[in-house]
Formats: sequence, C-alpha cells, structure tokens
Amino acid sequence: MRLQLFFPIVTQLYAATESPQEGITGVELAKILGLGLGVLTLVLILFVFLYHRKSPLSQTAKWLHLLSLCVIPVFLLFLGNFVAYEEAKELEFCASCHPVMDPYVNDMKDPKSSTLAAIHNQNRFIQEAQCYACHVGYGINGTGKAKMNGLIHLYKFFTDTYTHPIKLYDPFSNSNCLRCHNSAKKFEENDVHISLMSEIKSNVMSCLDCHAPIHPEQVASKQTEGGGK
Amino acid sequence: MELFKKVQRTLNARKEMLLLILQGLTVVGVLLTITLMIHVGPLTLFTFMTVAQGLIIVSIILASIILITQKQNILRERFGPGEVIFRKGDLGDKLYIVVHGEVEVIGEETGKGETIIAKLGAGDCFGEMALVRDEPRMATVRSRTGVSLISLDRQGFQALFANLGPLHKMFEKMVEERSGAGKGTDA
Repeated sequence: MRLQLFFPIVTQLYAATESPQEGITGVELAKILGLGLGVLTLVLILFVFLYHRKSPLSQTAKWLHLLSLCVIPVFLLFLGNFVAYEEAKELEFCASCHPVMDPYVNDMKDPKSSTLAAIHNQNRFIQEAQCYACHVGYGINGTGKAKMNGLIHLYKFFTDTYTHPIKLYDPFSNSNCLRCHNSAKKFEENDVHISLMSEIKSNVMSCLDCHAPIHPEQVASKQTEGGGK
Repeated sequence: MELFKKVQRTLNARKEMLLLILQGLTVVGVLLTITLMIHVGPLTLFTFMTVAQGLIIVSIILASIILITQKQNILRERFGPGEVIFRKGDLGDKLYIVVHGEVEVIGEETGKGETIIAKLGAGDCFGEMALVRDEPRMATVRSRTGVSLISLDRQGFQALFANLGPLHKMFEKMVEERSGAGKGTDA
C-alpha cells in the first residue's frame, strides 16, 4: 500500500524536474513538500510531548509516535535525498566551495576564455548541471560513484584536507563526451574522428589529447611548458 | 487501578525514556532536513547526508522496534458464564484479580470427577501460586457468571513484588495458606 502511494510521488517529482509545469520544478515541489512534512513532524512530536507526557505508550500516543517517528520521516528522507542529489548537480552548488572552485567557475564564465569548459558553458552546449554533465560516469554506477565522491569532497573541504590542484580520481572517460557528441553529424563526419573512431570509443585515445585545455590549470601548465621551451 | 497504572508505568519507564530520546534525535534530524529544504549549500547538504540521515534512520528503526514489541503487562479481561480461564497443567504466566462476577476453582481427581475447591468473587485473586513457585497450574478455574478480571503477567507481577514490600509478604502468606489448606487456586 505504501509503495503504491510512494511511486506516483517519485514519478511526479521526476516528471516535474524533466518538464516543469506552471513554473514549478520537481526540486521546488520536493522542497515545499519536505518543509510541510518537516513542520508536521515537529508539530506532532510537540503535541505528543505536551499532551501524552503522562502516558506516552497509550494507544493514541503509540499511533502518533508511529506517524511522527517512523512513517513521515521515511518520506522526509526520500525528499531530502531527492533535493540533495538534484541540487548538488548544479553549477551554483559546485561554485559554493569558493576557494577550490572559484578558478574553474570564473573561467567558465570568462568570455575571453577558450577552455573546453568555458566554450561548453557560454555556448549553452550544456543547458544545466554543467559540471556534473562531464564529471559523472556512465550509468547508475557512475551516478552513485559521483554522489559518494561528492560527499568525500565536502568532507575534505570542511576539514581542509584537500590538496591543490584538485585531480580526477580516474582518467577522464571519452564516454562523458560521447554521451552528447556520439551520432552528432559534426562529430561523425569529421575525417580525424572517422579515422580514430575505434580508438576514441574504446578509450585508447582520449578526446582530451586533441581537445584541450579543459580547465584553467591546463592553460597555465601549457604556458609554463611553452615558456620552458 | 491507579496502583496497576503505576506498575505499568514503571515497567514502561525505560521504553518511555528511549522514546523521549528518539523524539529528540528526530527533532534534530528534521530541523537539519528543513534547513536543507530552505537552502542547499555545502554545509546543509553535508550535515543532512551524514548527521540528519543517521539520526532519522536510527530513530525510525528503534521507534519501530519499541512500538511493535510494546505490550501491556496489565490487561482487563472479560469472560462469559462457564468459560474456562485456565486449565490444570497449563503454564502459569498470569495472576488474575476479580473485578466483578464469580469464578470457581475446580479440582480434578481421578475417579472422583470434578470437585469445586473454592468460589471467588470481587476483590479475590487467583493464579499467583504458578507465578510464585514457577510451576504449572494446579487447578482449573472457570467463570460461574460473566466476570471482569484484571490480569497481570509475570513481568508485571515481579515489578509489583519488587516495588511493594507489604504486598510481597501478603502473597507469600496467601500462597502458604492456600497450599497448606490444600486450597490451591491453581494456584
């Protein structure tokens, strides 16, 4: 019964996220529902505390406890996770770790920059979740890994245990580029791409070997290399 | 009845205290979740993912266990006329106090059939010997009229014993008398 109730909510939230209707997105809807349920839980707990203090295990109090400590919090956890996962994809969220992310975000917004990240962002090649779109692995494993790594990043940020410059855990996978570029006419008909297609698709050759720099630190290192020569 | 309510509360005290702690944990978890709903930043997201989720999950699990396993040690039970309340040889796990109505204690001896050992009315109790001596019921008890009883399980009985010294002595005396007079009410 609860599952039957639960799944339509999930579907509605994701549907609203994909195609917002009447100006309200799935995340906004989840936030409103979450706030409502949160306040309802607090009110119920306060009510039980004040009016059932003498008999907290009476039949009525038991139902109220069940509702405020077991049932509503399950929905609240789901909504909290939904909001957290969806909002953490946004560029603004990544940008909120200022000391670490400022150089990257400033570069993405710099009209003079010619990095891949800036080109993709300023030409609106990626409409939303600009960082996440390129930094999430393929499939559900990729999403899970990105979320887990994100949590580790937050921990390192708050405990000031990160090292600079920040690095990728694994070599950048071409699948992140191919998610959008594969089957695109401009990509498929390019002579260089045609000749190297099997190497590109099997990750033997990285897209970034030719299409760099991606972020400002690579510009800096390139300039240093050039200066050294 | 007030006394029994007090005993029930003593028995539930630990669970009530744990529920109070769980309420506190849930309030903290919910407040952290509300702050996430108001503003999604690195700190609110991190505290939600680690602290709030942990607190809420612990509360859900423990509160479910407490509420599902919660049972009343003291109950009001009703029997119609001629109903058997317990039989000789049953495992004794409850003490009964007659609120109103009448019950009869029946002895069964081979060859003699049923003999009524005692008739008990409002204010009388029976079933205490099985709890005190930890033995099976020594007699069958049947209602003569419609009866209303208060039943107290083993845990409740022990709590009552532990809390009330004079009551302990009274039951010991009663058990001695009843077993000495061969008038065991199960008992």
